[in-house]
Amino acid sequence: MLKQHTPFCLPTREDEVVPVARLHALAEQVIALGKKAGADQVKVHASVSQGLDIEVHEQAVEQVNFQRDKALSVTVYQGHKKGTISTSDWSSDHLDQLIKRAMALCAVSEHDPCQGLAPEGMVAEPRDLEAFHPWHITVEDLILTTQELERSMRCDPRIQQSEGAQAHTGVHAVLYADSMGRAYHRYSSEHSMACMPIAQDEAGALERSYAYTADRHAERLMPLEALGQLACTRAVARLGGRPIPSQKVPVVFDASDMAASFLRPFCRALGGRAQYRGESFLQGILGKSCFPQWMNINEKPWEVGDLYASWFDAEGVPTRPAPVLTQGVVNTYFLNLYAARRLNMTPTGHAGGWNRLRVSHTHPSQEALLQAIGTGLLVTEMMGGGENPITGDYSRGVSGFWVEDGAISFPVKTVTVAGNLKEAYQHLIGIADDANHLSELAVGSIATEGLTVAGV
Amino acid sequence: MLKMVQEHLLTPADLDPHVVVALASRMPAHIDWGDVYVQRIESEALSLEEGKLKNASYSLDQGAAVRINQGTHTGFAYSDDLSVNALEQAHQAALGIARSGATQCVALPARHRSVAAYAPHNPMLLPVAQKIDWMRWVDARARSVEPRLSDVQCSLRTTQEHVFFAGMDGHVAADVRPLIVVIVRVTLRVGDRCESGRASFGTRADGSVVDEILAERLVQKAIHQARTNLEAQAAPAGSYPVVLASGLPGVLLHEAVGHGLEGDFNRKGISVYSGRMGQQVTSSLCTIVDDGTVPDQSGSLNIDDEGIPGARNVLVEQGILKNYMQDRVNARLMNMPPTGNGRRESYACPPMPRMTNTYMLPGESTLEEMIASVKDGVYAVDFSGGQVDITSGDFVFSTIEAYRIQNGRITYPVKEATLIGNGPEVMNRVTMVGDTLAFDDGTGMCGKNGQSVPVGIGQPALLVSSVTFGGTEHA
Repeated sequence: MLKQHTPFCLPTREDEVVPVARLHALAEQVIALGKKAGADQVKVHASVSQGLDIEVHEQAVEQVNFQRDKALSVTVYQGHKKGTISTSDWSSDHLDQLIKRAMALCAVSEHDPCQGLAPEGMVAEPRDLEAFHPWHITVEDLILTTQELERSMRCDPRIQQSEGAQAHTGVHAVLYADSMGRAYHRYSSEHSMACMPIAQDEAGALERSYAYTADRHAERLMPLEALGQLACTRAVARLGGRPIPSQKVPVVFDASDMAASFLRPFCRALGGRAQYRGESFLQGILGKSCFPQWMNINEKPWEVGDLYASWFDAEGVPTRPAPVLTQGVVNTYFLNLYAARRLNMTPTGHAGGWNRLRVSHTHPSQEALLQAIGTGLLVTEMMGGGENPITGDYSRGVSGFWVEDGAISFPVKTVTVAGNLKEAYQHLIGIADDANHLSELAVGSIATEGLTVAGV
Repeated sequence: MLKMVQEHLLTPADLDPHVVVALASRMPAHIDWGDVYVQRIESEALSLEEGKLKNASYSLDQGAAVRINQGTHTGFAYSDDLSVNALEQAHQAALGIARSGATQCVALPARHRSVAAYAPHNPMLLPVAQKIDWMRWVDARARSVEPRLSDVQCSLRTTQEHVFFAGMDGHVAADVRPLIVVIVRVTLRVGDRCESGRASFGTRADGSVVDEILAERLVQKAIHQARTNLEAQAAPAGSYPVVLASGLPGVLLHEAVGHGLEGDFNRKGISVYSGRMGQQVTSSLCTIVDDGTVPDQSGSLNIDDEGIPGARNVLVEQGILKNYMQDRVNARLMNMPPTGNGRRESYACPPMPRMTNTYMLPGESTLEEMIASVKDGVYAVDFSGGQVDITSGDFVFSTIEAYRIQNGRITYPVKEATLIGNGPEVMNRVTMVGDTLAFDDGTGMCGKNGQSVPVGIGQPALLVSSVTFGGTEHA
């Protein structure tokens, strides 16, 4: 039975989330059940989360949600076949039934020699990434903080309404264990705050925007006043937005969320599965160039206190800091065990995705980058998912600002940018030194020619 | 239904329904609403690719949540432990943050409904061997129809959900929700070009629908889409008349109108449709409905996740705004009756207004007439999804199969593109409405505030006189 400090109180210590011994005992129990049921190999993921979500609207408290989750996922392997179960119930009598079910599923699946655990000797070295920093705050105080954030958005008379302000605080424990004796765990915390003001023009038209902050340490969150101000400025700046005529112009994606969204298809194209299936728009790109020579991307999975740091991946394979792109040339794919075996390559520790990526820059600021493009479109928000991962064709709904003579001129909305990413990546103009740490891809504002705007 | 849910959900967990009911009704006098929601979700997924059954998985999740509401303030706590003790703790936690002071709002009664939208089948009983045979049939058939396929992927997921609901007013409800989702994806390689095509089907009907007729239909559709996309040329960029096929292109309604009519946004006054009840919001050719009673559709609900029967709600009638979609809290705050749109992704999430099956009623034109009337535009047949900013009303939806129309005739396929427009503006430019209503394939999922729920969409063919098509070829 899962024991807790006090129900629905925010944990302040790791063992209040879940005692590590409990996680290990669960894994051992499951692995033993799997072996007893005939599995050659067993893999276990267990996790526990606790958190609190506050939502405030026009200063009234809308939601106070307590979260308390646990999850268990088990994969059993027999003769290179596999079966998986997942559940939120860790009780012994259920586990027995579930493992039997996993074995039954394993029996109907088919043999694939690339399936199975990491090889003997591939072990991850534990590192203290200082990821666990619970927020020592009461529910009442978090409500007051959220209300204060909402008030700080009202720094312009055109902000008449609010969609609200939110706060989240959560702690997690994650365990990976397998029948080859690996057992790795990690405790972490993450906290965030967001606010969504609504601006109104003289005609009564409404525009909304947002700003948010997130960190593992509550003290490192952006101060409320600055956050509210940022959201307010963004919302007001959208007033009077209009479409522009269709044309091919340089497009700048704002740091970091928009820039990261633009670059993320590149990361997905390096994914092992896309590569071994021959379905990547950057097929076989390893060792070849797809970006300008001035561009570098490095993976940094071990940055202390970082939101996107980890020393082991979802298959218990160690992560390691390494270059992803050097002078525009791709250094590595993102491989899990299966993909690595299919491609006859060494696993790279990317089961579950990539960690913190840091991208180089060419211009000191976004202003400098806008001056470099002269005329074009600065994209600050995007909608819709139009990306074809096989061909690289790209089409997204956007809003932002028209840039004339290197400066922001007027707000633009209800337009799209489209093109092919292979071209758009090759024709990057530059990247600014204004990255923030919110997206896992820490990249500054990024400019490309190679995309077409569709409007009126 | 109640008996079935008791047998499969409550009894195995040693949870007495009376205890749940008592907990729900044990609320202080100043509380406007409280409820307890208990749920069990069981699911099995199989997937075949490269000719092999590679993935076979099973999941089981259950839990209970207590929700307390007073004015606009909601406290919510849940537990994946169905013991009485855990429920008591959740009750305490949720109550702990409720404030004192009563509101003046009184809840209006919901409509009564007795016809079920789906029966309590158990798709989990479909034998694994039968499912695998079906997927192998799909694989073999697809490869024989199109030998140039580099791969066929087929996945089949069966889910059964049991729900038990007890409200503060003594209201008790239960539901058993089956769901089967099948997806077929093919990759076609010709020379150095490669493209994919997809076809899927989701239903709350029983497993007998997963037959050879379905397999043939999905295989043909997926292959057709892959072949079409392989030939696709650059799409136009700019404002064009667009003919939308019937069925899945109804994502237009979901984004341009649906989300903006959810009760929470309108109660807060932040939607482009706020304060517009009784006004003209679309072309008068449009009557748009949100309907949780459509038989076997994935978006249908016998009861919503607040114990209110799923219902057919007319949202827009001949262009006039008639109704918003409500959950209990927002209905009460807006002094409107609940509409059966209170949904949760699972017990671990609080309910909020969500769509069920959103569609437009048929009109009088034909698809042929619409295409013939377009001098230079696009005919869009299939979409991957969309998104909306409900405050400005701007929305997008992205094609995965579309064709150029030139001088009243379909000429060549165009690459995938995102269309963008302003909801009320675009809906006012619907100039022709087709005579045959069709629904989507039953695999639509809607995301809002981090919660994902199955939804249905539908429409007859439509002609929109002007909308921005996000291609690369501009005039």
